[in-house]
Amino acid sequence: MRKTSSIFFLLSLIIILLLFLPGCWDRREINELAFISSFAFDLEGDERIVTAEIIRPAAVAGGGEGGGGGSGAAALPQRAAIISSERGNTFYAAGRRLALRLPRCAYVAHTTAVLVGEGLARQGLTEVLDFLDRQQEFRRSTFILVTRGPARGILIRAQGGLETTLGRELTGLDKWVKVSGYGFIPSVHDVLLDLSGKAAATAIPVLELSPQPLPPVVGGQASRSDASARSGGQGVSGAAEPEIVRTVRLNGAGLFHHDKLVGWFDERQSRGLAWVKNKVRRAVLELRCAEDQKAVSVEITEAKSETKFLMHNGRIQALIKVEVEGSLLEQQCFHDFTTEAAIKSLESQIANIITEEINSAIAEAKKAGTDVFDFGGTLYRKEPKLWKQIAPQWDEEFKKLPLTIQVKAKIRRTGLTGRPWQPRAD
Amino acid sequence: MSKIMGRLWRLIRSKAKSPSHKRNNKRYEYPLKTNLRESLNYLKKTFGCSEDLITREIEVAGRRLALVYLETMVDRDVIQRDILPSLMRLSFQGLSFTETQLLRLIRENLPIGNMKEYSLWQDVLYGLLAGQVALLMEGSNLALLLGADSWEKRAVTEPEIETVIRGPREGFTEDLPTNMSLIRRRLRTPKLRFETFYLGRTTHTRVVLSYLEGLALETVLTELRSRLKRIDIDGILESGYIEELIEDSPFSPFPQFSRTERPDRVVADILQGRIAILTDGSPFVLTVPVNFFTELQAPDDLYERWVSSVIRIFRFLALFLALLLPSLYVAATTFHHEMIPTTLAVAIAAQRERVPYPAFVEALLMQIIFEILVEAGVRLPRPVGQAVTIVGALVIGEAAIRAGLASPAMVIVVSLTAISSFTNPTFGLGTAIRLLRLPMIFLAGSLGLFGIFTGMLAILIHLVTLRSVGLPYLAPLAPFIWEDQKDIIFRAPWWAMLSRPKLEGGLKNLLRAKPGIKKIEPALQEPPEAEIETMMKEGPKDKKGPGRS
Repeated sequence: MRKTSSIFFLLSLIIILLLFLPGCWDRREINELAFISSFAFDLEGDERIVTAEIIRPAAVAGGGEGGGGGSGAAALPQRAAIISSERGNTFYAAGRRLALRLPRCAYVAHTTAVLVGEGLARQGLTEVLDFLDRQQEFRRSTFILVTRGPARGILIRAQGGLETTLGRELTGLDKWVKVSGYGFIPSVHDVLLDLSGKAAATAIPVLELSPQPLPPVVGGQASRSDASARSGGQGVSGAAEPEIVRTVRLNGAGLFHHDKLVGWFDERQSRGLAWVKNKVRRAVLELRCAEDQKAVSVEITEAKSETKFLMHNGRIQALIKVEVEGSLLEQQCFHDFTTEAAIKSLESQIANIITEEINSAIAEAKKAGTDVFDFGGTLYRKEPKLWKQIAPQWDEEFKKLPLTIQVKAKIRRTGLTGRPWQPRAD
Repeated sequence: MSKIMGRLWRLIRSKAKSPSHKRNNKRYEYPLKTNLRESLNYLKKTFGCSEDLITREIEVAGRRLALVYLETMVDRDVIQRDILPSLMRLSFQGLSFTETQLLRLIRENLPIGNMKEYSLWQDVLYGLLAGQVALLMEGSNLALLLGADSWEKRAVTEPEIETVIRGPREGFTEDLPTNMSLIRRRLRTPKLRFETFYLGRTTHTRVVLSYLEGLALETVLTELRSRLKRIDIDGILESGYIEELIEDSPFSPFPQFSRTERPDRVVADILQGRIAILTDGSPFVLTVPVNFFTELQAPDDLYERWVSSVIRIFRFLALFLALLLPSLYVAATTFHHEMIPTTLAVAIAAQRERVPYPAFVEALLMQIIFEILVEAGVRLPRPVGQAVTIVGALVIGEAAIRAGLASPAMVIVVSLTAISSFTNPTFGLGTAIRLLRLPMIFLAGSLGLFGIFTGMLAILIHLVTLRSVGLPYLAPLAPFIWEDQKDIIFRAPWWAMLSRPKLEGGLKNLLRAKPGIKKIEPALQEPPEAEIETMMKEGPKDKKGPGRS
């Protein structure tokens, strides 16, 4: 009896001690963390510069508790974050040096975006991808973007728009940018997949600052009346000068061959890429009325593309088939688009525009010598034997790959009205 | 330290192993004397100075009789209006009778239904204590016990704890005969058995096993009887005493008996082949054997249309929340920040900015405050209760946050936990969950999710090994019984409830109901007369008188 009891006691003591002595070793209170919302990676000479945008939770929560929370003076919600920058020979070293100035533990599991500066991108993404992929806290779903010039410039100078941090801004952009058709924001995972694919090329969208005046200057008249309204409300004498607010916008994409930045797409070209890669969810095309060259806009509601390869005279030839559907959204002329002929003319215009966008993108990609369309991958999947022969000299083959683009456009609807409204239409 | 623990352990062990079975008190086990005077003296001596012992002597047909009763336990009307006049009318002039003849005469002329002869003091004494009137006769060594018991009882009211939206509103009272009648009224079959035990050396409390003959498992019954007989305690004031004395695992936090105040629930259990234990003086009736899921079944589940019993899923969910929500919150905010959506993580971080303690301490603090409030709410007299709730709401909800002791998120977690822990229909599991919650918070605070899962694993292992009177506690799930799944997650419609639970009901009596849509086949329907005939042949069993022990 005595033995059992002491064993029982010892066992419970061991269990209790086991719980409390080694436990808690990686315990971190949530309010001891510095949530890094986005990163900017740059190269300067031999040194890597890591710039982090760190969320200030108190400022995000706002309200009465945090104290701060500007009064009516700041019309624009400033970013609820601080910027911290450090340099080192490796990203990890630089990142760890952030600890010198942070009262909290840097935490990157909630990082939403990584900006890569032009210099670093030209030198190669490998080290960035290795750093992101190896670190256990980083997620592969983190967005990755490139900038023209150093990335930290954007991270530091962007003032924010609707969202409180750049990271959140980019999350929102990713969700809705597809509506424009002009682009998409890849995640680190996407880029890793692309670069390890057969074509080993990818296009990463470019983030740039877009300075805009606030209040928006539309014309002299509007500005004055607006200013007077403000002065009437706040008692400020004289017309307020519109200040420049720096928000961010997506503009085109950087083209990567293997891991190096080799060229750029502009906006239209990046949509050209999106058509081929099936990334367009919605897009608005500007067409012309046949008679008076006035504008008509058509929204593409469905887009689908397929790439095929044909052998022609012993040479491969790519055939890109795009099928789109859309509806008439707006027209400035009085042409009646309810007739079939009129619709047909619009459809052929759509086809032309899309063909042109794709062509322009392909020409740019060929110039840069990088297969961002992943024709290599498609070829490998469809004609593996052929791919095996071509693979070693694919970069050269791609540059002179003949392409045919077939666009089938269909306008299904003309909105809620048929013929355009005119005065005395009845 | 180790010495003290060892001694404590041995103390507990020695109590549990105490071998004495001297339930029968042998002190009064001798026969009555023929001398009336001597008998009365004996009674007076036995009851001492208790003033409520009344002896009324009377002469009938030249023989001295004495009515003895405890004034506090009998209906005076019955004695004065029925017994005494009838006895007085019995004087036959000139005629003399032998003791046996007179006794027979009395028996035939008294307008009392419950009437028994005893020859042992023991029976007479406990009869008196049960509110019977003893009739002693000069020259006879037999005593006639007449049932005239009556005492103050509470009326049958609606149970306050187990409320229903639809269903009977009657609840058990403290009076055993009333409770028995509440059950008997709902089960009009001669197969319903009430088996009486007298437990408690001093209190001599009447405890009744109630079950359906042929349906309740014989093995469980035998086991239960033997366990009840082994109870050796001076007093039983509540059914909880019995539960604690005879349950399978006395150290388990989980209730192995289901307790209820509702007769309809007891009848439903009896119909499933369970056994009810009624205790005199307690409105709580135990049913056994039960499983984990019985605790989550509300009476409404049986009465409402089966579709609405799907709501039971939320009861399961609430059970998990009540057990795990604070620990999950602690684990997520101290170890697994990546699990929280970014926006929420930042919001929680902002809220916790002013809280000086780790989330673990915060959770512990709020939990303790809450438990104290609950306890106060139960104990406080009703008029003060209101004040406590207001103060509690202010302290927990408002002031704690203002003072920087807790974050709003933690208050939400604690209040959601609190609400969830009260969704349990019988409160049997509620206590277990409340007990287990704190260790789970400890585990979460020290090991994170790993700790939570370790804790859950330990609880599951315990539940799987637990038994309720020998039957597995996690029954239709842990030994998986497909047919019995119909009353677990949700209740199957009654027309699909074709069999009784396999374990409790045994394999006989599988058929419970036929689909209401189908025609009743006459061949399968046993006429009630035949049933009664077989009953008669077997002879009435277990019809012990209330005065016998």
